[in-house]
Amino acid sequence: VPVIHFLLVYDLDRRELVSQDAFDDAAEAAAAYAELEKRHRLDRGYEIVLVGADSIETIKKTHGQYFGEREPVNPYLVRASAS
Amino acid sequence: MPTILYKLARFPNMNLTTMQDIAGCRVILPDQTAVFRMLRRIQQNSWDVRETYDYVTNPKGDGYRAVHVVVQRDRRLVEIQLRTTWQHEWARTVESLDLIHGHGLKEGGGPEVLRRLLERSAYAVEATSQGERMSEDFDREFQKLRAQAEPFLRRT
Repeated sequence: VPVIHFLLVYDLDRRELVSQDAFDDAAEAAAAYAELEKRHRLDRGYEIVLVGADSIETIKKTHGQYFGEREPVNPYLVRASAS
Repeated sequence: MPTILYKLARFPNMNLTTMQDIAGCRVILPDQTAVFRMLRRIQQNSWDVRETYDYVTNPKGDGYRAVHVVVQRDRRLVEIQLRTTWQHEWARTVESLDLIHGHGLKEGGGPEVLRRLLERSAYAVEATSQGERMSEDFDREFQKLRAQAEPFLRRT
């Protein structure tokens, strides 16, 4: 099964995915990823993730947190609070 | 359901010169039994195991829990991180806090009270995920720490 590379940008403040791109070519994906990391190097609050899988459906299962899946609840987990 | 995750660290405190030329992969498993079962499978495989770090029996000072195994494959070192779902969830909270505030918690930085809170958090998440209930004393102390650390948790 060919691997598709997904480049995701997640806004930790707004808690939502702000961009999602797919690449067939690993080198192209890695270059786009490096470029984004460079652009956001000094920003806080963005999570940039490059992840490969057979389809976006797989990523939605393994990385559900980027797709609006509710965060697991444990009263002792420490999360950032709203300002 | 295999996925490959490529991730560069964006933390300014990261010291690149101390990083080994090492590949990494992470396995998230439902519970501790599954983690140790996987560890045994790795050790019993004909893989060349170089190091095993059991941060479950001996958690790191900041509360981090996981089992790390360094194996050599194709003349390359590969670090395999084994975590339970909850250990992973805790580690993710530390990562998000670092991304938001840039405390450098993962590298040992950040305010002492926040580090202490996260250590207690890891302890309690571990215990409750195994069905234990925390004592009232623990809860009181935890709430106190949380209140003290509050200014460092606020999104700005």
